[in-house]
Amino acid sequence: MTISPSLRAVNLTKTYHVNELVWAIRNLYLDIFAGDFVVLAGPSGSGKSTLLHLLAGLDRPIYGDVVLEGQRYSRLDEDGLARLRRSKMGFVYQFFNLISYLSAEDNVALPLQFAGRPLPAARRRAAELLSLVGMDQRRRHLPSQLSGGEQQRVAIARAMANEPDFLLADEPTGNLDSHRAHDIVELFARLNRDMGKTVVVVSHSDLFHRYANRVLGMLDGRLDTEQRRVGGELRPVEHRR
Amino acid sequence: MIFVSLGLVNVRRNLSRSVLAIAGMAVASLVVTSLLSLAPSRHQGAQLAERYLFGGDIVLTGLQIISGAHDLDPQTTEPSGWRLERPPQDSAGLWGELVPWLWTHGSLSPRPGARRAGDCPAWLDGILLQDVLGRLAQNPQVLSARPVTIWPVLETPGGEGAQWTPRTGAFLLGRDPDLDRANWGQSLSTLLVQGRYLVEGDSLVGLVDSRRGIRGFTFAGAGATLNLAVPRGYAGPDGQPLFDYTDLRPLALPIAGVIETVVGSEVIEGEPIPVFWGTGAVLVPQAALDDLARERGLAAAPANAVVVRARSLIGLSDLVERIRAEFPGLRVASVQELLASLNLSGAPQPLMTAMDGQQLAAMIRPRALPLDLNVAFAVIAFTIAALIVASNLLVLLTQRRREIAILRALGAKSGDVAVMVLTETVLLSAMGCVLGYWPIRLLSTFTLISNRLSLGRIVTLTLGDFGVVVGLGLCLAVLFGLLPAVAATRVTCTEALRDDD
Repeated sequence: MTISPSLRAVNLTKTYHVNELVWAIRNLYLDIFAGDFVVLAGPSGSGKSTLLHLLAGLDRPIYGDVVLEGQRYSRLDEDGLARLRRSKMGFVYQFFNLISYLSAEDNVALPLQFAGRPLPAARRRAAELLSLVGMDQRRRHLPSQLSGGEQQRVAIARAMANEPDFLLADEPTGNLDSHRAHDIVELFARLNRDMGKTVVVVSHSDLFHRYANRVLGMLDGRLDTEQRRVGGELRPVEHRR
Repeated sequence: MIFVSLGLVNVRRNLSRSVLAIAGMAVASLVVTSLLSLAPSRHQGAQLAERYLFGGDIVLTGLQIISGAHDLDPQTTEPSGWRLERPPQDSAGLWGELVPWLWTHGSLSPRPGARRAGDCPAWLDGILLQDVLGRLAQNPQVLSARPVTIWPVLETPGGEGAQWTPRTGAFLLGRDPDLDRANWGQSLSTLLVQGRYLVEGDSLVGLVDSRRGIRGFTFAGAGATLNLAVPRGYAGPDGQPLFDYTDLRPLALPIAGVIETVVGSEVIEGEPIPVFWGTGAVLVPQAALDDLARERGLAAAPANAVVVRARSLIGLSDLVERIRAEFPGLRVASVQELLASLNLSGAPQPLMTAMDGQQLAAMIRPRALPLDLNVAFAVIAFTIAALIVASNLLVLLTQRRREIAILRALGAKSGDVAVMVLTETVLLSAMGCVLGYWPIRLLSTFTLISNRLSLGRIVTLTLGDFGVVVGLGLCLAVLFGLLPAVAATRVTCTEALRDDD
């Protein structure tokens, strides 16, 4: 039986103009299946973050499309994409991107309120999520009163707020020391394993490789290599360009 | 709702900029409130000349001698028993035939058999007059109230030898020269441009309006003689004074001087030209009028009107309303309303013509030019303030791009972001408007209270002006706030969130 992918990139192409034309993503095809733990690896400028932004609906390609459970991003307007990000995607950034003047709890409650949940209910749910990521004692703190690891936990709780199927993270450990980075990796693994979230992580480090079932290597805007977990080990597979 | 609360939080976060924006709006609000606070007294200057003519600011009368020309159509009921005749040399000429309402003046004759010249729903006989004067004296807004005689007379249009065509509208207005001098002092001498002011004491002389000719009356200057026809007076069934216009006595009235009443100015070829008001009023000494009354069958000249001088012209309309409410049987009109009525109709209507309150309000509206200028100033002031707020927010947006991008990434729609920015604009503007409004308004309220304006009127003025200031301020703030709001919706997720690739 063939399992159809949940998230699919079809002939995805993205360019930037920085003095000259830069091909960030070139004719890229990618299938991500429900429950996958995918790591996007590669050198700086290889297009990992751009691909992640395109998959999350944060940016639009100049060519090609992203299809999420049969829904084509190109058919959605800006507000449609906003609704999709709100309900289907959770996004975690390297620099956390918490709202500086809101408490940890209110940061987590924000997407819930965007979805129309009243503040008291949103705060109750936020407290649950902060407890899930081990931040229940710090929920009244402002981001500036939290360590980097704690901020990232809050950011992960925020990404989980509307119970999205996909959790996308752009260098989530890039701004943390190794100890805190390890905690965060464990957290992602737990969310993937215990809650069935599909996780796509951009990372320079190989900390995530231990839990990933696919590691995709990118180079010059293309998928260059791919490793899949077979029998507990990551093994290279022939990549289709 | 979340975006509204985020907008509120943003006001608090950037306090110094918020204070700057609020201050800008407050100054604008202050300017506008000042202009609006001046508005209740805006007629003060314009009315100084007009009020002299009647000897006060408000006229109360119970007489209704004849109706306006429009009531005298033969097809309608004719309660006054008069018929309208147009003079052979009517100034409207052919146009008057084709377009009756262009008819600038007409003449009235008693209908054959008509013996009475009108009905008197509430006449000012001796008892009622004392009651009216007594109650007016208790009104703190009234400076003085004195009875006067308004005696409608007819006059010949031409000089000696001209065909006798009785013309209505002229009226003898009894005046006490000493009282006038005491009341008007310096302004009296500036109003009189020619002749003397009833210096003959009790002898029957008159003062006429120098521009009376423009209303269809005979031009007359000092030294001239005015040919009038004075009706006989008699007591009505209930003792009220009535005038019988079928029994007229010719009267050659020497003119002692003329008065000029400037009611405004218009600019012609760049030069302001004064606009004069012509009237058929003939000012005569009250004592001489008494003599005339005795001669014409009355014990004395009937005090058929009361002229009230207000303590202040601020809130005059309020005083008129209060007097109207207190004396529902009498006709009460401010001098300004009377002038508006006369100016609009263009006809030499007598003072006692029935007036409709709404109609008069519409008539005096075109005179409220200062108020229109207030609106222009208000728009300019608020536009500048709203630009300050909007430019402030535009600057802030450059600092908040990342934050907006986060909100967009979390699922905020364009409209949500716009609401957030507009909330901030509206809140800053509203705070500024309110802060600027109340200090000036409180000062103005003290002025209104000291002028004994009624509490209801003060509340109406305060709330009305508050609505204008805040409403106008917010409208312009929203209009200009759209600029930063639209700019905020154009922030994309990636341009602000890209860290590394």
